[in-house]
Amino acid sequence: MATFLLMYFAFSVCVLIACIVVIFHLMRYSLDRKVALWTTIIFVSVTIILVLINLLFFINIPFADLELLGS
Amino acid sequence: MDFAKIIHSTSSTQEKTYATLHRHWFDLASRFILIVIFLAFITWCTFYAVAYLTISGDTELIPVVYFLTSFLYLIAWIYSFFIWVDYFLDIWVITSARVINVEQKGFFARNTSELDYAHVQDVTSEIQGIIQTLFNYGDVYVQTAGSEGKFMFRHVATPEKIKTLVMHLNRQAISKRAHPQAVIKEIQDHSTHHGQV
Repeated sequence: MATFLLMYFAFSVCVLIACIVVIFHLMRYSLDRKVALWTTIIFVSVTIILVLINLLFFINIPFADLELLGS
Repeated sequence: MDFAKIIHSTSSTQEKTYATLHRHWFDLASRFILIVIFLAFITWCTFYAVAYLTISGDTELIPVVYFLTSFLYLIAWIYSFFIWVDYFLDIWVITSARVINVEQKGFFARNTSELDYAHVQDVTSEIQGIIQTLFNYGDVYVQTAGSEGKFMFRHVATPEKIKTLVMHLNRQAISKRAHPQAVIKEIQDHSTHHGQV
């Protein structure tokens, strides 16, 4: 289970970096501030929802039963 | 629009912006369609996998299937925004003084180039294929005398109108060079209008 936790942590860090890159480029290089702001808001809100759903599914994985299945 | 990010007016005359162009929406849509198809396939696989696991009795794996599905949805969402940023930050600006090409190459490379109308030698518009003909978009090539060589507007809407506009502005620039008194008068009119001596 520790391995899965570590992998999930690494995945979360990658997602966070990707989000920061997208937001940085939208806010810094957009000529239209309104469009940049709206797309950032949409991106951040949907990303948060998807990350929370993903975390919920990860927490509900029965690691103990899967380890038993594996052995 | 905040043109100050890419336009630094070095001229004393007012620089007007005639057009701000992005790639045609179909170019963006064609890339999103692939993502939508991928997500539809993933969703179908999830339903099939959950139904199969329920019937076979291996219900411990169902949360894993849901987790993997949400993982792929998250990846697809972030990737679609990578595509959006690449589309949105590719800009061509046609002003009264120059053409500016801002090209986002990936995420950590950005190319900005300017073209003075006096250096324009030839302008060509190109519409190829059924899709481009139906949606009226294509490429515009501007042959220059500068180091840039060829300036390209890629997959822009109404390429023939853009070609006509650039040619018109090119002729205006050549005419101004032939008649510098017109330029001086324009600068004086601008200074008087803004209360400068």
